[in-house]
Amino acid sequence: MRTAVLAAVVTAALTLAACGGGGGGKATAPDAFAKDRSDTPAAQGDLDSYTWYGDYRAPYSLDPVKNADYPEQTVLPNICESLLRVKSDYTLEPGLATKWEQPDPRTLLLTVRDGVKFADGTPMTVADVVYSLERNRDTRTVSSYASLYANVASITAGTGAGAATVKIAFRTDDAVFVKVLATLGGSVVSRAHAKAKGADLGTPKAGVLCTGPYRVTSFDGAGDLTMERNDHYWDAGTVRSKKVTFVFPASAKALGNAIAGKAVDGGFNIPSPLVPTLAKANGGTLWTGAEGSSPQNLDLVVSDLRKGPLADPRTRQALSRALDREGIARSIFSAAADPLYAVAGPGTWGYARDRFQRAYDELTVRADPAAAKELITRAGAEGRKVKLAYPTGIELYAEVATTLQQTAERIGLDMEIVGLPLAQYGEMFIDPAAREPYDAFLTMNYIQITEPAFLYGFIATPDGPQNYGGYDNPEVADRITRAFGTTDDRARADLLIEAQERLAQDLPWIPIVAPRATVYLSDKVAGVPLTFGYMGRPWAAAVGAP
Amino acid sequence: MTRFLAGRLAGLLVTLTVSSFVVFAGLYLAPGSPESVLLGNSTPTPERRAAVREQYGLDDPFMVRYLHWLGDVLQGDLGTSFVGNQPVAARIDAVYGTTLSLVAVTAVLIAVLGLGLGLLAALRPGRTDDLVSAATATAAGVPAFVAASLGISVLAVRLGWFPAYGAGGPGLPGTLHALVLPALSLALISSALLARVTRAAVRAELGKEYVETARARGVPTRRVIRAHVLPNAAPPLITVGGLLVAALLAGTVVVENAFGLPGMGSLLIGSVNQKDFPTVQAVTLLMVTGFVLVNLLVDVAQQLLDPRLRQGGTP
Repeated sequence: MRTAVLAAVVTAALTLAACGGGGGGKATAPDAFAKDRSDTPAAQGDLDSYTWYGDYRAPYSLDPVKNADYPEQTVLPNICESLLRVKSDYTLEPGLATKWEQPDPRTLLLTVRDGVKFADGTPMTVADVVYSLERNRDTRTVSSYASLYANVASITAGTGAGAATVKIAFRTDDAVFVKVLATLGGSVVSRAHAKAKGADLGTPKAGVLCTGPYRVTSFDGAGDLTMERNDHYWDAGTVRSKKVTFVFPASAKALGNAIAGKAVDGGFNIPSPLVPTLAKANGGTLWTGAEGSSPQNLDLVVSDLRKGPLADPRTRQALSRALDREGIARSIFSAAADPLYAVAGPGTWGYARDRFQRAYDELTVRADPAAAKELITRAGAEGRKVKLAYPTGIELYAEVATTLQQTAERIGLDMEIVGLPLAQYGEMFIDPAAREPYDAFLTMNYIQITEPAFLYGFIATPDGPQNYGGYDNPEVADRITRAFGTTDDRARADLLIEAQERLAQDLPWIPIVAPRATVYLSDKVAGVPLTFGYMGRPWAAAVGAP
Repeated sequence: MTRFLAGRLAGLLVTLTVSSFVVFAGLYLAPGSPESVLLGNSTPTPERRAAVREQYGLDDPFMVRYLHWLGDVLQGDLGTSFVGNQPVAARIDAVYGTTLSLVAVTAVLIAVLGLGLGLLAALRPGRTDDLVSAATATAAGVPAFVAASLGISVLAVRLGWFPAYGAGGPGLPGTLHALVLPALSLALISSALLARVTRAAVRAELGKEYVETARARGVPTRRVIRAHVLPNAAPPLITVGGLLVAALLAGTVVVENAFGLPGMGSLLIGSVNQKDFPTVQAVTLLMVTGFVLVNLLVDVAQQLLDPRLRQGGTP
């Protein structure tokens, strides 16, 4: 049935790899709170160099398709450009392709930009583009974006009116694949270089050869990564800074020290324990995006919908009804998060926002422990035990788990919470046997492609790779599958909204809160997106002096 | 001496073999698997999962995997990291310098501060002694991570004297500048302990009869201390100092993490979280080797310094 439902939804279990730190407690809304903006103010001048927080670890590989996680998606879009880009409001714009069109739902035509050179001065050709896209389909590459290419039937080079073109043919109607081309899954590497390096491509020794505004000048796989301006860049006029150094402090505390000591000029995705301190910091500003500025969603995932007290939808509904989402957002996330009432919340709506918003408003409910308790009684779940797993070492998970435990207690459920070390917790996403001892687990999830179809396809179709609990509702699956082939945005949104309404009753995942995008900028730098749009564009080029 | 060395080297080999087994078995038994690193974080198809398990020999029996690994290590091959397909040796090569420099700077600090303060307290009874004793007693109770936080907030953030994060500027001065604070936080407890041992050892020697006799004969105090007191007090100080330095190898883990120093400690923590077996095994083995080697050096130094041990043959 569905083929393209697989997606680059990354279970970012290890995000916010924070430990210690101040934690929440007080409800101080950050000062620089951007109600209606998706960018911080643009840079006014050039910079020699700046240092940026590259997230919680160094990239595993410089090969753009190897790992899809925060560090790779923060650093690599500046080195390896993609065919398309997203703006900070998630609309598509040209990248290495100047034009794209879908003459019919099974065909995507791209016009390749002329005069682009790789960082070594060799020209980029349409053969490089086809080769790079095909790498995602080659099982030997082990691309993180492979599943997104499942509906692609062929990728061929052609000639349009004088310009080089690439034609992508789909097996079934496909309205959403085009967005993949604005991720690292649509990036272009030099074919000659990639072939010469073979399996070593992307290691510190072999590196990578791309067309982006920067090229890597120093990286050992563990420490800092420095990149310098690519002198062959086709859009050289837009590059404001000569050199960028990425640092990768492993803990929130180390990042806090680095910022306080002015060793770091800025960063995206600031761990929430730092939010209260940085909001008051001298020498810089912590920016918080508007509601829906981040596609992250914190959810409770039911391990198995066929057993335990949570097998009864009424128990799941009761938990959801009793949750004080606003309280969690305010105290645990220091107000840099919003209550979340559908797994695909405002941060994932890349289009038809008014439609999604209307439907979402209807799902918005106040916490109602009394109604929840009644549901528990009716389900006969009173006094039954639920075991919840969460990752240790990251304070906020423990805080959310404790809140859930208190919530469950209030409505008559007995909840045991179990902290698992990161390595063991990570296993939950791969191995059903690892999930088996627990009725549910907490996860922070995000999608890079703001398309609810991907998210819902992933968690709510029978063979969706994140459908951990074995959720199977033919009506829901039907709507999602049809959405994938529906090119009209409003019609696609309507299908997904129908699926969403059922999911709000069935609750294979229980949405909790959606953190907002956070960006720290020292007084020395300016000009970055205030959304997760940075993952889909060479953002570092626009950073300069305020 | 040769027999002594041969004996110690044999012991070293046994220690290393046992610890290599313990390290390997520990990782093997710990829950979780490295597949989330090897496969990216999306759920893999069963075939891909099987292919990766086969490629890295994850399904082989325990002893097969252990012997295979040990054989490679003996041939100088530390294996391939699960992270980015890099040789483990290359990953360690990138970071060991930072850790060795950190240990070296810390060792110097421990020696200078510990011996200096200890001597000062021993030779200046009264106010100075009380002051130093009180200070060392306090310092001996401050764990490295607390010292690090304090150092960062006062010396780095408030006063801006040292970098709060990272490996520092280019060249030796830049590196040293960045290492001062981490080394200070590491050296605090150890130098306080060494100071107390030094004070006690020197005091004990000063109270002995030969010192009284020498002084009575009119030998200048300075000479008595340099020629007799210090050499006699040295063996216990070398033992304690050596052990403190050896223990530093473990201490760097905490401090490197707090200061964002890309060293062996940071690599170890990152690799543990990622279940990067080959890197964790190699780093742990190297740390154990370092610990054992420093201990060996201490013993050899003892032998050379103490004529009784030297002349009397191996104990």
